[in-house]
Amino acid sequence: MKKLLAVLVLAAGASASCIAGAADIVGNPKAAPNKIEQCIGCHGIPEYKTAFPEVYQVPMIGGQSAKYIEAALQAYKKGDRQHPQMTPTARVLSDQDIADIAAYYAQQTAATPNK
Amino acid sequence: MNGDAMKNLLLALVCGAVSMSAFAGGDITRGAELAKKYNCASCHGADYKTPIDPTYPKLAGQHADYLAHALHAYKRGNKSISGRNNPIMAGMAQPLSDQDMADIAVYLQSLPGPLVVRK
Repeated sequence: MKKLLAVLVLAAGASASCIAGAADIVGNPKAAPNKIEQCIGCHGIPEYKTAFPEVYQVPMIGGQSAKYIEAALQAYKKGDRQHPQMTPTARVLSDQDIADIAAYYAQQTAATPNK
Repeated sequence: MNGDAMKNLLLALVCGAVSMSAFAGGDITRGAELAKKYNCASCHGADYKTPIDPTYPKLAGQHADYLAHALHAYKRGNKSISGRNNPIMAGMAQPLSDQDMADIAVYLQSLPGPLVVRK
């Protein structure tokens, strides 16, 4: 019974810290400009296409929802998505990097200048 | 025109024809019917740009060839070199043929949406 209680307490503590960890990270678009060099080489070029293993235009990510961009990058980082270019790109990003990049692209609109 | 130039021109024409058929092959009307049949809007939003959960993507106006790729990736799963493991989308993509995916993709691309390409 004691063991069971200990396990429950540990589990509750672990899940609470997970939630706190996720809640602590707030995306800051102003921190993104020096984190997006890898992104703009493909996603910043109109009609840019991937070459392998399938040929298609890379998705437009400007104006996409921040939480979706975060979820997609986390999925590449953790392996739920496999992709020859995106997997290695996402693996080197911290959770804060991912949140900043997502916030940066989410705020873009048709009125955003293309610098 | 010399032989090499002729060969290049022919090659360009053939490649052009192949890529046109791959993407222009989508049928917007049929895509709209399929999107309705599979109830894509129940998660991605009636206008496909206001999903019911912020972790789901806006699809309206997205490149059709990318959307078709994403559907293929969900159907394949993440054991492949280019695939995705997602419990919801895996189930949605399984019954779709290549033609179904192409049709749904061109329909979604035809819709007005907020997505842009910026640096």
